[in-house]
Amino acid sequence: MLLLSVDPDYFPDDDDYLNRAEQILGDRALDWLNVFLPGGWGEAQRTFNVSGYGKLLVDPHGVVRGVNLHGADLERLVRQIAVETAKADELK
Amino acid sequence: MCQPFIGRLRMSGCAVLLFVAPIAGCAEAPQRPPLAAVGHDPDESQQPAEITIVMEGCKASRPAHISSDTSLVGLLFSAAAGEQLVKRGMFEFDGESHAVYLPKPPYSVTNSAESDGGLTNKSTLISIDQNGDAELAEDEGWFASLPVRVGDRMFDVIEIAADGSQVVFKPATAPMQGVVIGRKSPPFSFQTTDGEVVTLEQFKGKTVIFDIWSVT
Repeated sequence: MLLLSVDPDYFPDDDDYLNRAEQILGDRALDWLNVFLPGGWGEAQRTFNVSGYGKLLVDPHGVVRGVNLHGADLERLVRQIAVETAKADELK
Repeated sequence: MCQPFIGRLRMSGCAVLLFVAPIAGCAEAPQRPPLAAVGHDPDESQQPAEITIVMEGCKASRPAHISSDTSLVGLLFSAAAGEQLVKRGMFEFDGESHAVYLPKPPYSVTNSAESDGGLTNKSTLISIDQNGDAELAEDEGWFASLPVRVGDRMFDVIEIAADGSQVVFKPATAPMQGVVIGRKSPPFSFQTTDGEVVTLEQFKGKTVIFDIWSVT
């Protein structure tokens, strides 16, 4: 899991969101990598063509497999990719 | 019933290539037109200077686009009905065909807002059916002010006719941006608060979920 924070778009000063981000991640015991998009939403739009909060699922080959999937749909696709990867490894 | 239309690809130099492709009715099953004789040429000098897509009337819809201008009432209605698309044309490149859709006019290829973000961007949101399923997902919408990714190519939107009768694309020099399901993720390089640089490359061999979030 890679968190992409668009907070720099909302807050004029780093202090306004960095501490809150650390606190939120700490409270939830999330040790996922968290990076910041300096250009916020505009950068998310330009880089990923994502216009709001959302998720991108990328497989081991760097191929985008799903956009804005949630819950069971996301889990199903992750499992499918795991199966595909295992089969590919067996063939090696 | 499908109506044929003629698409024009303006190639570099003075050559003009014509192709004929059907327009699928919006409620019909997706119909992939026969591929025009436009293949991928690794020699970039042979890329078309501009590509003119002839648009025809259609009735289609996509998920509602919520912007900072969307009123509460509009939000309630648009969420249920989606956003109407009124023009459709076919675009062929690298041996693949894609349907391009426009919403109702007016159209703009420039963004007058400060941010390119989806909530504020004032340029026209073009929809491109990249997987040919005739379903226009939210991630198949592209703002005309930004480079548009079609397959693994980037294009600038040069012009949208005031009446929506044509859209002009031009191959862009922009690096790969935007996601297309089934295609490589665009490369990126961002930093953590500790200054650690994180790139797409370091996730090679792993399944990864990118989660866009904020503390607000």
